[in-house]
Amino acid sequence: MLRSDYTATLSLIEMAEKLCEPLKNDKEGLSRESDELKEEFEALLRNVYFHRGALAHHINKPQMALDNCTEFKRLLQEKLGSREDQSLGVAWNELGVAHLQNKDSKKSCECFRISIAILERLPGITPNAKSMPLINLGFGLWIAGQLDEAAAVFERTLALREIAYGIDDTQSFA
Amino acid sequence: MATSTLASLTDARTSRSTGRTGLTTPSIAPSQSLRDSPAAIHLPCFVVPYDQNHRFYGRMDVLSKIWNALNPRSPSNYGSGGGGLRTFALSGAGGIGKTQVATQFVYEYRSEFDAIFWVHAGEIDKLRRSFGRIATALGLVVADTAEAQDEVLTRDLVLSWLAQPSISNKGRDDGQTVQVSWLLVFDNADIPQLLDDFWPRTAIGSVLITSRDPFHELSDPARSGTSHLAPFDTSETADFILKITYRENDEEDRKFVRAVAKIIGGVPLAAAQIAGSIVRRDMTFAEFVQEYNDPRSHKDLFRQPVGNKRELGYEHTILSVWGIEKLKVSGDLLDLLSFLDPDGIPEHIFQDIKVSTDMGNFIDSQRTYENARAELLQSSLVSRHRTAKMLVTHRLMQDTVRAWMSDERYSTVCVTTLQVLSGAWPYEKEFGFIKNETSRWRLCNELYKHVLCIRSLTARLSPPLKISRAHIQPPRLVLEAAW
Repeated sequence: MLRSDYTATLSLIEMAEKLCEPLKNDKEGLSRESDELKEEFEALLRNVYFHRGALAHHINKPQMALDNCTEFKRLLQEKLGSREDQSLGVAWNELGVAHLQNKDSKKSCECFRISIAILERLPGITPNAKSMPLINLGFGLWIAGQLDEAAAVFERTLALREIAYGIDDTQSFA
Repeated sequence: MATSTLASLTDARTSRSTGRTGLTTPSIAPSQSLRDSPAAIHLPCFVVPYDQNHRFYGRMDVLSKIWNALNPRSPSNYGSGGGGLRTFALSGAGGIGKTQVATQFVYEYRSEFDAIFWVHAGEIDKLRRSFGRIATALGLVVADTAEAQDEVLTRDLVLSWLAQPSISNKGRDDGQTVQVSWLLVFDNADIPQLLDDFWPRTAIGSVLITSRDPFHELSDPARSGTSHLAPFDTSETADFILKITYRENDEEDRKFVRAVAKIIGGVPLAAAQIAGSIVRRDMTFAEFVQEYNDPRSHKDLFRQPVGNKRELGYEHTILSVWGIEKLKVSGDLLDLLSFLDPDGIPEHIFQDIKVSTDMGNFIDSQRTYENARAELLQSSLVSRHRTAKMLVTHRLMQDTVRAWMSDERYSTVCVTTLQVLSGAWPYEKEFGFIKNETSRWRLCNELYKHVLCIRSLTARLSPPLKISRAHIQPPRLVLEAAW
């Protein structure tokens, strides 16, 4: 994906999904072998949806983005139950981007706010960890026409990133 | 005793270069053993089992190198005195054209030697029979006699004659003894030890060896020439295909001939086989390329025999010509290599392999790997860049190997190859959420093309019905590569 070779990216994701296919029919067999192994496979399958959703963001496929990001968040919530972790914050952020692609800025901003809230609640997480959903929230508000709120969010996010990386850094998005 | 070449002293040369081919038959059947009658030696003598291939293409530089090394009148090989044994070893993968080059050489330089002998050196029985034919053709024994059937005797007679290849020219007033120039071709000498009892150690003459083994023990770089035949490049392959299909003037086919050439990958035998198939089925090159894109077509294509044995010197298919079926310790490695990008396979991926696989006798140690690699190198099925520690192989060979796998084997090898790559892949510390650790990128870049190569081959892949720990690495690798 980082190579912008999106056709190859999609074909590799589909290949990974094909290789994980038996999991859908053999969960009991896997559980007998090891719960840990079953969880590893389930994580793989979740990441198939996560990767495909992220790819869809890059190639402007709104429905593909929404379908895959929704499924990724659902599978993650199913696994975590009432718990929260960083990946759940990422899942809500990606879902917010998918809604933004589908021109639903209201839903996207809701998702970004949930993502920020989760990341703020996690112990041991740096303030900068929430900068991604914050940036995206700024865009969501901008698209929604809430320009003053958008500017405030961008200023807040910029301050966080300057603390983490310095002023006008050239490394943080490398 | 003064010596000179036969060329200047006998009338016999006037009968050479007449275009006569095949085993030379003595013009006069001697009535008794001629061992003690050197004057009855039949010269010139041309014992070559193949016709000249009038569609021979290219390789001019190699032919010139061989001539420079084997020229019987050149004293350069062995100092000022001349004489001694001149050797040239021609190596390369099966089908790359070694026998064709040797055949072309013996026809092109036929008039430069008084005697040329072709020896099938791949098996001991063939060596014996070849020497028996030479003994008969030279007139050292009489055809169909008990002596001619005695393979030890005929071998010794030929070696003795090669050691002192002269005849008494009793027709001359001065009774001068004539030195004879000869060329011995050991074709397909893939097992050097077989030549031990047939090697003209003390002889004065020229020896051309063809072998898959690029490190032929008999080639002494200090005293002989060597050449490793490389595949044709794409332009050469394209020209060769147009020539052998007689389609040089077909504008439509000329547009697609480079695509065909890329499929063939510069292996002349494969070009000949595939071209034959195209012509027999009256296909255009465009139609062939379209058909070849479906891997299911490969098996039938590679199964077809190579045509015209008299010209090409083969009676087998591509698979048998490459000797893939005869590999003893490298079959698994070759199978793995057939799923990787052939232009540069880093050897480090085979170090400390930890895979769980159904492949039998799998590479389980560095020593096992090195033994397998040695066999493939000796067969010229792969070559190695020692500095970069990279293996290089042929695309068509890969297609052939995969075409012969059962569906079950295909899936097993495919998944195992992914496991091997996974063992070398620099995973992110926290899987799933990429932190763009740029220090990984160089290695990722090196391995990525191999993951893509496997991706292009997954149409035949059947995932396992039930998965276990052995199956977790392949999808994990593919997913990381996707990012």
